[in-house]
Amino acid sequence: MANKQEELESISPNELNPVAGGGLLDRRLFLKRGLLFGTASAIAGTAGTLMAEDTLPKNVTSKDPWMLKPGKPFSNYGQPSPHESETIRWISANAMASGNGVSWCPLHKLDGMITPNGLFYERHHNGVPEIDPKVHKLLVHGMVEKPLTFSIDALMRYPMTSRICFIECGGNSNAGWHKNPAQSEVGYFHGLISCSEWTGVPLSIILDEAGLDSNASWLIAEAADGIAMEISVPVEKAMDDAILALYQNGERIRPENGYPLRLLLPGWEGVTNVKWLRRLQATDRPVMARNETSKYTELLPTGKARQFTFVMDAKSLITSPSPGKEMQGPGYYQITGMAWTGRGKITKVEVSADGGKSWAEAELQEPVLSQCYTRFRIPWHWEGDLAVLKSRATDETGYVQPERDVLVKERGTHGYFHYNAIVSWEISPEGYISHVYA
Amino acid sequence: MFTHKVMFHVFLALAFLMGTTNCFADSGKAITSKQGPGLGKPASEEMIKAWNLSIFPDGTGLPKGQGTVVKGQKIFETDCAICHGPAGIGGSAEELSGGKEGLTSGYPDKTIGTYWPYATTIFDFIKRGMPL
Repeated sequence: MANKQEELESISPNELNPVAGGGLLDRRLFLKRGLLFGTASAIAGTAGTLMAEDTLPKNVTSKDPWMLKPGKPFSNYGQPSPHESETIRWISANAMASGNGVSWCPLHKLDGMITPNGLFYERHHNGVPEIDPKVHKLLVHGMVEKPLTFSIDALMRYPMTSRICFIECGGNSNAGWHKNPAQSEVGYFHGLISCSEWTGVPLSIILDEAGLDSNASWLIAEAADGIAMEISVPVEKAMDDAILALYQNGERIRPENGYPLRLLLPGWEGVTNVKWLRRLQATDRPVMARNETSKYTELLPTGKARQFTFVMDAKSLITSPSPGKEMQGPGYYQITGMAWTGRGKITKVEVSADGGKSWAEAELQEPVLSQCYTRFRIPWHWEGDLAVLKSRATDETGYVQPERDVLVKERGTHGYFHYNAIVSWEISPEGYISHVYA
Repeated sequence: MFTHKVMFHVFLALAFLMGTTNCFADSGKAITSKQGPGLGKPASEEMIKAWNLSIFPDGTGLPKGQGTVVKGQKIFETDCAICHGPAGIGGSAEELSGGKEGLTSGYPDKTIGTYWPYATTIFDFIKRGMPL
């Protein structure tokens, strides 16, 4: 292993110079093994803060208290540390119908690309049904040669496939349409999105078995919840990459995410990923359900509305630093966040620290997968001045995440769904972080 | 014995290669991972009829029946007004009426009268899950 001095010498002085305004540094600095921000700070010639000496607390010997006795016994199902009790979903439900509403994923408390199952966002229209998997069945009928039913036990015997992908509610980030920037922690504003590994049976296998009519162009998917939620999905997507998901992050899907069976449509808005899937009806037209006409459509300034806007457009946001957190004085920070697109892979995330005047490319954390969270990171030296942080995602189709004013010009402010504009955080010289339209 | 051991390893290697090409043996017949074991049970007409809740804009799927505005108002007052408000506005639940300013105004109300394109959708949604 090379020593730290050699590694630092392998960094050219240019790499430690900002690559964009506001103190953004070269993303490749992360790849220099052993580089510590503090050391880089000294090399870059800025005065490192002199740390007070760490001393032994009173009455403490060579061991911390939890080293002095045996630890707790085994557990059948592990739980997070009690010190992480604030890492929770935030519930916003209807006061008169507690099962109608959402719970937000605490994006600001998480890192990496996988959402823990207990923190995966929820959107329920009438609560979480308590389904007995021995009784639950999937009916496939309509324009098929052989209408069939499948028990969960039967589906468990089918060939399965896994993929890691996000599900985002079509209404995620809708406060972005508001006239004034909403002040909230990231997750409680943008947290109607989560990302899991999903495992299940390719839907095409089931549709082939039933003998899908070549004239069938839509599938009506229906849930076994208290509102029998239904939605129409084009057959093309169903035959392409749809999965009848049985597992989420390795364990059977949680009740609030569709136990025992969920229709997974990678990259498509959450409402089409029907939970508690009970029925698939092949037809030659959409059924025009409530959730594809009066909801999950976007009213435009002309008075017309967009309908069947299934694919979630490219989007990104910075999760750290972010509102609700505070800066701990000038110095080196790692800016991180995530980007995603329903159209395939994220190819680039740029970050600005000067409100969009200049941009630097962030490092994309591998693996970069289709229709999946892509974590990005970039080193930043904050001088303690007013700064405005932004991130901008580009996907493999060339689509670039728009600035808010561009999105609003195109769609007005009354569409409610599919808000994917660039998000801006203002850092005050005192270190407070707030959401701004910039 | 040595030869048998080598042969066994060759067999394992072949089995592994077959596995990586997504083929596996089932009763001696090779099938691909695109095919299932065919465990779907035929669904009876009766079951499909009972389960099929779909109602299309042309009326396909609607049950036989009739009603009047007067009867409808009574049902609304009993089952709906508590959440949606006595006039379909101002309750804890979705606004059903109003929207007089239209969809291009500064505050467009997306109500049944202004934003629901099909009457069948209203019937279908109420039948499916109302009241919550």
